[in-house]
Amino acid sequence: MALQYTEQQREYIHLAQEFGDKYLKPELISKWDKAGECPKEAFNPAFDLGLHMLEIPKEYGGAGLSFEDSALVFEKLAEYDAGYALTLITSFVALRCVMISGTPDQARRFADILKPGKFAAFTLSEADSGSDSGSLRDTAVRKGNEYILNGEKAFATNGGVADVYIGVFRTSNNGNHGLSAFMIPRDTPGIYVGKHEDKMGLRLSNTVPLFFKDVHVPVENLIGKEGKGINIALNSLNLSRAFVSTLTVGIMQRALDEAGNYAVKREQFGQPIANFESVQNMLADMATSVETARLLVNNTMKMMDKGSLVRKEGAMTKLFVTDVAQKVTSDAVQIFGGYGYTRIYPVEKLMRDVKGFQILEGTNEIQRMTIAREVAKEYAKE
Amino acid sequence: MKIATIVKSELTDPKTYTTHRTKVFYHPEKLFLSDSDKAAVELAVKIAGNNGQVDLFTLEQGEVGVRVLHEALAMGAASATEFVGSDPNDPANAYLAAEKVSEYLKDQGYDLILVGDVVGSAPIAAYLAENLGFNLYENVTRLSPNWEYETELDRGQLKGKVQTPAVLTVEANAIEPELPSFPALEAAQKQTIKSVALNLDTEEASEVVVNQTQHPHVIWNLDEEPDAVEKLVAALRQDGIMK
Repeated sequence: MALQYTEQQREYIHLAQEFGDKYLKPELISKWDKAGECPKEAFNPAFDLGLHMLEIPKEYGGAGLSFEDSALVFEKLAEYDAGYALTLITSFVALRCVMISGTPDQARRFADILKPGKFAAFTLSEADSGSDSGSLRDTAVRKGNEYILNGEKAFATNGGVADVYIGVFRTSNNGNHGLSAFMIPRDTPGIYVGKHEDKMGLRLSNTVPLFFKDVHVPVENLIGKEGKGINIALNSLNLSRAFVSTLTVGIMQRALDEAGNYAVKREQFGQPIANFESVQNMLADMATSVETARLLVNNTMKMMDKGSLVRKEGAMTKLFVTDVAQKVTSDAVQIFGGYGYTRIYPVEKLMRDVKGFQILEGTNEIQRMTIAREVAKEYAKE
Repeated sequence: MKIATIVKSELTDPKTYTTHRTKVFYHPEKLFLSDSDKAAVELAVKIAGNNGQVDLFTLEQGEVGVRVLHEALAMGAASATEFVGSDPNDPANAYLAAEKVSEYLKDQGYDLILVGDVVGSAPIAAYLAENLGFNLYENVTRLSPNWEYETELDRGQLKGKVQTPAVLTVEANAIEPELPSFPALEAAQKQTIKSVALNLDTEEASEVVVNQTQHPHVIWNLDEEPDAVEKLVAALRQDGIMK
């Protein structure tokens, strides 16, 4: 193991492993993956352990772990199922976003909703506005002490299970600077949840379209200032990109563990396939990718703990980690041969799950644009 | 109700346990609170309830000792103490260690001492009971609030009532422990652990003597000696152990 854990971190990882062994058994994960959804009750043990507010400070009811320590816990959980882990992460990233950009009162109200064991969702994308947030069309019109929200949101992670949303809506026709973010309780009249998306992977994670029809929210639910919605969205994305990378490392580690164990047991031509150079090369590349990805994520998390917004580093981490993970999981399937292509072994699921991370929280093409822009800015300063 | 629980570790991943005849390599990072000790702590916390107190003790050394105490503290125990000395876990030192631990626990008013039942841990419980004059109940698989207990026997269960003060060795299946929460673990990591030096005089410890005079190879290496099994059988026959 290249990353040297502290004793405390080892204890956190061990507890995450005990949780996974007890509550995320392979037969359950397989059942929920086939069904394409995970029952809400399956998250109750996670709420009991405080996983839904792991990196949230104690004064808000969280466990108060650092980003670095939280990442190690969620990497371990992702070895069991990344969709399950993503559901929990999405909630506290949304809360963290309110803590960064909203008022202390808003953060406390948001935390109070999540604390007893509820979910949150962040909704930005629309059917025709994905990577291009400037073309977002859903509107928020101020009338007196209220905003009235109208529109349709697409691909809302946790949308169907959340009790509170952060939604980004257009308050003026000023491109990206005409967007504003709102805190929207789920039980507000006029919110309709669409059909759960039948996704390729991450099937334990709930993804739905959301419909807003004359939804009234009080002005005190405006997060930050009017027109600053894009900044809030970017803050949220910086955080979630780093955590998505963590989950990806967990998937990669599982793929390596599965493939490694299989390669030393599976015999062909009278010997384990791990003796063949072509398989050895794959295992070597996989192991190297896992270690380098983990170190990169760890460094980004350490920067976040020091207060950095990691706009460039978060994008770089997500780009690198989720791209190498495609090869790692694909090689795992390759090492399993024909069996890897079936649902008898879990490696095909890992390959399906990891593909999602190249797309969500900003496609990797957008990550490259972000990195290039930040790099150009640095050179322009010199 | 005042309860002491003596906790220890076990390997979480047997794959990391390797032997090479004369040496045993443990990977300290894989050593965590044993399942039976988890059951002992859970039972202690449940019995103590709101009015009682559970104090933890360990003979594990260094980071492993601290780790098992953190895990057990997170489950709801009140305090933690590590006994440090010259390898009190060495079986050869078991009696000496138990004697020193008994001296420390004596007169502290404990009603119960619970010990997880792991292979190799039985002597400490028996020695403690003997030194402290407590009743001993071994292999407990159930303990009710009114002190009725059960132990598994080959042909059924032994049922009875615990007479305090007592030492109990607890089986892993006695109770299903709840996982501690992350905030509880985080708080446990910040809690002060008391250190008590046992000052074992290991010169007095019983000595394990291996008689190597009869056979030049007491230990044969299967990897390097293809006829190791035959040699072993021959040696056993020579000693009259096998006919």
